[in-house]
Amino acid sequence: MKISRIARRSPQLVWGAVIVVVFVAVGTLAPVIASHDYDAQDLSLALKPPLWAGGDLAYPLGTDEFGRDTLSRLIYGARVSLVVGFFSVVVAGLVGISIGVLGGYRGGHLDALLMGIADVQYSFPYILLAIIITAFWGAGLVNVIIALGLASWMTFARAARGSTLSVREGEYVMAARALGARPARIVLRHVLPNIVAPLIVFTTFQIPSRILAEATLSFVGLGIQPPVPSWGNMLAQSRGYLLAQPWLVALPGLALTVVALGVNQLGDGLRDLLDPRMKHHVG
Amino acid sequence: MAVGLIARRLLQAAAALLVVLLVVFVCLLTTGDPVEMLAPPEATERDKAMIRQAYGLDRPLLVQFGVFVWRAARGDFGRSLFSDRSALGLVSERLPASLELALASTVIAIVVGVPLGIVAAVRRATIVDQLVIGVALLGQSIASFWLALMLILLFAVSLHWLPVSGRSGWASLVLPAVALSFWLLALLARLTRSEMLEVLDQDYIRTARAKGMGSAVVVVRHGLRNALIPLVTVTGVSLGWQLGGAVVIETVFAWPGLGTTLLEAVLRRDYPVVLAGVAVLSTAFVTINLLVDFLYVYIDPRIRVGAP
Repeated sequence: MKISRIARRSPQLVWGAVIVVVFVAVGTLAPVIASHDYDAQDLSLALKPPLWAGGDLAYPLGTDEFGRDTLSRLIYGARVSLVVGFFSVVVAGLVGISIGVLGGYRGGHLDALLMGIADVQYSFPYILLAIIITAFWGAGLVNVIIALGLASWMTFARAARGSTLSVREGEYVMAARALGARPARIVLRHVLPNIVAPLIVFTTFQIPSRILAEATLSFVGLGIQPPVPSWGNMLAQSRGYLLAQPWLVALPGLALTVVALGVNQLGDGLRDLLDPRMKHHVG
Repeated sequence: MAVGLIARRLLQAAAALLVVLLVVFVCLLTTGDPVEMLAPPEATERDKAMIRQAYGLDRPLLVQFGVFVWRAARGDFGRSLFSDRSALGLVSERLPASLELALASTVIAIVVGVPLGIVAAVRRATIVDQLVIGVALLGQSIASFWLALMLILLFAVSLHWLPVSGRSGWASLVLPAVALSFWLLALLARLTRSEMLEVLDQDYIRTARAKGMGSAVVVVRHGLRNALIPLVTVTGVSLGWQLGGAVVIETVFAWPGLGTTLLEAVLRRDYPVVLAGVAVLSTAFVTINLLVDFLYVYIDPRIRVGAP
């Protein structure tokens, strides 16, 4: 399908894609784009206002209480969100899809047990679980990724299990089985390739909630640790300046919202494009 | 509903509780030594051994867990390591504030979200529909704690309409409840819209309209009633999520709830309080889920007579 036709049919897909491309580019190229080091402090420049409130061009979005450039910190913060959003979904996906395919393909007691564990974990709010895991394993980038992954594998497991159940009885799977292929080979060569496409769209939907969850963890002090900037810990640090310098609180949250909106729009647009039947049913 | 089914659900609920507690318990004991945090810096090894013995921390993990479950079943989670108060007492006195917040936010989400979804479905593909979809998308993309900070900035700091923090009367409940409700409101609006769109396409709706019934009666009595089941599931489960989400919102508003206590306890490794908090929260989630299951029976008569 031509890009112009896609754009006409699904403007939200285009908007989402533009935001996501900008976000990924900013996150990846942070050291090149940022005009200042994220931790370059100069107390004589503390709390400079942004351009529209009388600031200067050298610090277009102003500075924080340590005189660090807000724009540069936001740019580096995008990198953290990008890494956490992507890799925590990868961790959750690897764990969840493995468990889901295993349960769906083998069936029986194993399936019941695995889905039982998923149900138990569902009964516990996942942000709370992530808080508990990071509290005990320690904060930091890798632990946040693992915590968010382990706290939310169940959604992937259910989706993968459902898809596996539907392809398990397919003729090509039966044929492979009849030819004597081993279960591992059948799963890797025949089941996985056939369930992976819907799971990719599904994955896109999961990224914004991980980005928001990382910000939440960093906000309560259990995520990315200062001085490395994350939009969540920037919000935590600037909370005290809500009255005096509200833009310090407004900007990281705005960045967070725009990125989450973009990824959500891209996800919605992709789903409409791949499955037009859904278009009128889910907003 | 068959007694057997109820018994099975109750058993499942108890097993779920036990597993959650076991996971948190193992997490707690294997990742940090509470004795190191309890003992003053000048404590000798002998002092530490005494503390270990006094709190039963020298026994095998499984024994500690067994003892813990046995005591927990009788409401005894031990004493807080820092305030020498009963852990369950500390947690229970904070629960009402959290429940109040979770309930208020859920009510706001239902009262606003469901009608928004209905209006969007009835006025499908109009500007109203687009607006509701926009609100739903925004609700899913905004961090509730940031929304909370922005609400404080607007309504408490700039306009002075509502208090900045604390818990004193209904006015102090408004901002935290609204901040916490927004994502659920968005979810319910989206879900109601999609369910209603599906239901409004059905033959019985056309029949009802053909009989000359008023539009409102058709939408509410025939449409909404059939769209209710998924809504009840989500609302029920989300009451639990709201309790979890309240943890962060509570810290923004200094709301004296379970979340603030639990977060403090987690950060200080005050594990009797963490375990009591997790146990109370999990019991709340599991109970809510059970109630939702039973509620189905009243909403959907097909379940009552055992139809699939």
